[in-house]
Amino acid sequence: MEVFLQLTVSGLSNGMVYALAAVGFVVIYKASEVINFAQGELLLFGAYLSFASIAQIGLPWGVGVALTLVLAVAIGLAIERLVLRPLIGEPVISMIMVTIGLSGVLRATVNAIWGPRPRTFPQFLPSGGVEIAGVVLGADRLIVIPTAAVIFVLLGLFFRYTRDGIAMRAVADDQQAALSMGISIPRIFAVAWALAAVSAAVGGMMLGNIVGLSPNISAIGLRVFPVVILGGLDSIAGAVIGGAVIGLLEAYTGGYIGNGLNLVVPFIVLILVLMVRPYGLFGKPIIERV
Amino acid sequence: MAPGVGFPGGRRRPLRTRVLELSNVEVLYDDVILVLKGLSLTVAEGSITALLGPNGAGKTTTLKAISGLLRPDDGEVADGTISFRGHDIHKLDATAIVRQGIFQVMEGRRVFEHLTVEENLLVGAYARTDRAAIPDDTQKVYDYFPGLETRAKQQAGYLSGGEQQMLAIGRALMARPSLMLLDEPSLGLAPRLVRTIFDVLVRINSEEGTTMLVVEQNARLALSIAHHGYVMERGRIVLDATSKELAANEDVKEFYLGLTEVGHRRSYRDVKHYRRRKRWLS
Repeated sequence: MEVFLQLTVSGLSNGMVYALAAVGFVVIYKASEVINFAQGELLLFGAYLSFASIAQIGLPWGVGVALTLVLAVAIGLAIERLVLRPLIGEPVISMIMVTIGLSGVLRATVNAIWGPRPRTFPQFLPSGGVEIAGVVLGADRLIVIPTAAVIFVLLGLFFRYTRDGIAMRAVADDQQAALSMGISIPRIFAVAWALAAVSAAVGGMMLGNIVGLSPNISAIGLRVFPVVILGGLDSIAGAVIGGAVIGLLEAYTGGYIGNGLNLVVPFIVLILVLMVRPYGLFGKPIIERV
Repeated sequence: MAPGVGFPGGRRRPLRTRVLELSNVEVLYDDVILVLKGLSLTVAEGSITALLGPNGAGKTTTLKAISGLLRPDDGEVADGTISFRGHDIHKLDATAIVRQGIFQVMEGRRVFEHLTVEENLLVGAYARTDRAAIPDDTQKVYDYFPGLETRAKQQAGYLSGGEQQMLAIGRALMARPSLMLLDEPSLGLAPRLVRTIFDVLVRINSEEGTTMLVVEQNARLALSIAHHGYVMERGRIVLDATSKELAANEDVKEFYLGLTEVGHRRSYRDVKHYRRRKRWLS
């Protein structure tokens, strides 16, 4: 029971970090059908930005986090403006390829500024253990879960109630019809990239707290794929649930079966799910009237 | 032939302000395919103007040229001018054109299927600056189309075809356009629904003062609500007259309204006559 609880908390907290990265991926995909291969690097950049503002500049952690989020918005907007907007109207595959280049540029930038060796992340989440029902669980990991939940709820409210949020869903449904409503498509893409960068930055900071900081954490970008394909490429709720499922599966297989296998199991599950539901667990079904 | 029918520009228009004026518009797709070959037409303030013609004549292209929606289809206005209330708009993008007060109801309804009816209406009002008036206007749409109100919270994809067309028109109303472009509003709908929708269009035209340019395959229907009509073929206007005159025109009767005089045998020569005439006009 003790092991089970610990694995659950560990898996869920990892899963929430995956979900934070995946949500940004889904938002970009929904708005522009672009598959963003640089999602892991956005997360990496966010983590290093908070490291720089808290550990290197010495800002209080609250201010450092806020600064990181502001910078993340700026980076998201800049990427859209400089890298993707010139490609609007080109085939989507060109945009996808450019995100692969972007991931290399971002990773190289991090390496150039902060070097390749691991850094000590300025942990601002409480470390140490919390005893729940006689089991000691990591406090930082326990905090990651509700924090991510808050981000998801805010995102949900954004898409449900704000003018731009509803417009983004309209663009996802029918881009040309949205254009005929006077919606500026570039603006929607820009908002999507800003949101993706922010949620990735939050994920990066959480990850820095629970596993530490090194350029390797961008590898989490690869985890995004089983997560979003499991949940459905175009479903935000799917990204959250997919993240939780993959995180838990990794933790349980790693804990009960053996380390190493935990890296394979998500992909096995993925293949099984795709055989049954090709558009993912929560992918948008095509509405057919009868 | 009725006096004045058939000669573009050869006839005095009623003295009303021209809201929209297309002159010698040429539209190219992919830089090579010429779809509009010097098209000119005008739409009078407060009128309903019908644009008729066979498939492939360029009716939808004409509407898209006005609303700036050619670009996603790789089309462009290569020559000529489109002016709206005295300003040239053919160089503006779609977003700017919506803000000028032109709103296109696209062919095939194009509702946002995964958004609710209410959200679809909200998106229609996206370009508006006076957001405070949005609730009132939503109510107004529900007054025009009572069926939509009961479905307000449902996803638009689950509405019937008729309801979707009503939603598409309601969504346009939310933008409070001064010129509404309607592309085949009757497409794929049952005749009774079509009547309802066209009755509401007439009401909107008179109650809101919205000028309308309607593209229709169903010529009889379009002429029944329009004040003025144009017939286009192969990228050009070939007839231009009031809708009454068009409805009485022999060629329109035969080729668009499907009417032939009973007991009067049509010979192939008559068709050839029409072809000849058409060539001469274009």
